[in-house]
Amino acid sequence: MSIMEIKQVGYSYDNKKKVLKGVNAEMEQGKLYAILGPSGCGKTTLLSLIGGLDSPGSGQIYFDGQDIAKTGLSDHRKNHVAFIFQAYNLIDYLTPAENVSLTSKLPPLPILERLGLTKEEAKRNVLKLSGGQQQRVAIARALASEAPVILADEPTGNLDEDTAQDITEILKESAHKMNKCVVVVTHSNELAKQADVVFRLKKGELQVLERVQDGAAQPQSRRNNTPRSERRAK
Amino acid sequence: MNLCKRACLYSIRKKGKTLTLLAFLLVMATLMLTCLSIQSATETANANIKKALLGYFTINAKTLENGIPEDTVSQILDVDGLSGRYTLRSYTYATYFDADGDLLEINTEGAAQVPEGYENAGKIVANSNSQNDSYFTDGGFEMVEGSPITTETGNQVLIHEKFAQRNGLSVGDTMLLGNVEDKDKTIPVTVAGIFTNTEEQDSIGMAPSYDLYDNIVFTDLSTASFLLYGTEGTTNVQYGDFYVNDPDELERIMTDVQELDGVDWESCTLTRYDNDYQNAKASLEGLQNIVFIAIAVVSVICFLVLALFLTLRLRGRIHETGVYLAMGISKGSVLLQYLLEVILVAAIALVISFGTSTAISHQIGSSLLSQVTSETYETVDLTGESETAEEPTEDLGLAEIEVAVSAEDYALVWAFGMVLCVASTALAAYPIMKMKPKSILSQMS
Repeated sequence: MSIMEIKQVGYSYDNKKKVLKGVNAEMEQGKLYAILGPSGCGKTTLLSLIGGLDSPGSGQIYFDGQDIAKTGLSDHRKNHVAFIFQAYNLIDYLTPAENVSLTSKLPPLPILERLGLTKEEAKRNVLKLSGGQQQRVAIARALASEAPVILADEPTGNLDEDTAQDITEILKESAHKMNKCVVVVTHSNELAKQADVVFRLKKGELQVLERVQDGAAQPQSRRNNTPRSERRAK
Repeated sequence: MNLCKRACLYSIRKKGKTLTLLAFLLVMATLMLTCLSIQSATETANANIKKALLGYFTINAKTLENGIPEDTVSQILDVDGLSGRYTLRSYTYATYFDADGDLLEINTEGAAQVPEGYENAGKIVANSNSQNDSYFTDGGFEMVEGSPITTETGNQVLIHEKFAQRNGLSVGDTMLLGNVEDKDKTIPVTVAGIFTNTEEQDSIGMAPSYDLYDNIVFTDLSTASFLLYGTEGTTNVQYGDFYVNDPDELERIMTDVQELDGVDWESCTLTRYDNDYQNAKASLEGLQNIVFIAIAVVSVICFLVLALFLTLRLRGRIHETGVYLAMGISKGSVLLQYLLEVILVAAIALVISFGTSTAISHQIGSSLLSQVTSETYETVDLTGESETAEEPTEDLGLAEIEVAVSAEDYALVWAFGMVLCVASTALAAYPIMKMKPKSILSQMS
């Protein structure tokens, strides 16, 4: 059963350039989704709309069957989704443990240790950690929030290959072992290969790709841009 | 993590930014508190000057026929706003006789002339209390023997010690004062005291014989009334000085006096005497105006600079704001965190400012106030209505004025400081808070 449903979502910048044209998609818990597409095609915008950072120009986004525009975007951000950014976006005057505590009342150390940080590192200034460690803290913060949906915008974009692989594994585990719905916007085919479902955003339309092979993804025979509700009706 | 903890952690860990804000707020609070302290001190100085330089008016009989009757004086004393302090005065001339009716000898040495008919005459000064007469208060006269003359004493005189020696008079002796025009009109008086002058007479060589210090006789108002107007049983006077509680009310009080029934204003004039107070007040008002302008300018500058400072500071925290909003932390909570950070630092600055402003206001304020008060004394001196004493500050009650931070001023600065912090933070945060989270996050990247 899908936890997020995107229905006929359209969006344009300054009411001129239309970047999303009636996008439809469904996302379930326990799966890793990757959204591919050229720069400027609207991937991050779509992620922002799913995360309630902005409102779509047209269409609706549902969380657990509820229109997030009606339940409140702030409430959606607080309780349903957690973000992971390319630039980590940690609060620089807080330690990793304190950054994790921003979104959770649970003790931060177990989750940080599970993601590979030592107790010492957990109490250090976040800016003194490596890029990979900072991204682990950002992921820990997202996981600690207990939000069922994790939205990651180019989470491996600033990382070396090995660290990027580690982060990909963590995201995959988050989906499969922690039953999260992980949506990743990426340019990385390596990451896309690990995804359960891969979308391609092209000319404002979202297509589902069958699988990713050596950087070349093939579109599925049937586009997944028909909303579930409409499919059910059929 | 709640907003209080976030605010505290930011303030502690961003030491440079916190100290910069602390320094700025400390300077601001100190300036404001110093200005308010000086303003309070000038208000105290103004009140002290009011008390010291009492304004008064004089009612003066234009003609020598009747003088000012007793009942007019009583009516004036009932006017609202008078302090109760007043002086009645009369001046005339009398020929001096001993108890047997023989003429007494006066001093003529150093006199410009001895007018005809005044060969044995001198100036008669009558006052409701001889001690309050300007000869004694400002002219260097002092009692040598006996007691001063008041309204309680009748038919008594004070004579100069040289006059007493020249004529063999002493306290308790009787002498006669005779009308210069009508030698048959005499009145017997008792010598109640002997005085002397500690300062030389300025006008000696130009003054006629009857005005020489040696020849002046002080007496009571009733005796002078007999000599001037031939009255018996009632006392008419030439001059009356009436002091008021508040010199600023002098105008109103004089209007009330002029509206009294039964006073013949054809034969009386009213004269206002508050130049010293007005001049002193003008000096202090100058300082008060400067301080008032300083407070206004400091307030506006503080608001603008603080708003600018916080705008720059919050602009540097757009990233942080975006992250908080992305986490679902409300804009209100983020704004409150930023406000709390400023208020925490402001509270520390305000506590420290009590010490700094006490020290600074004591130095600067005392210097400014002493400059103004010295101008005040110069003004008082120039008018000639009061003479400068050796330590004039004690006379006007300005020496004891302490330029210190009062509880009221301190509370006012706290209130103002908090309002300023809230307004500046709200103004600085407004452009960020009205943005959508996505716009903030897009600015981040």
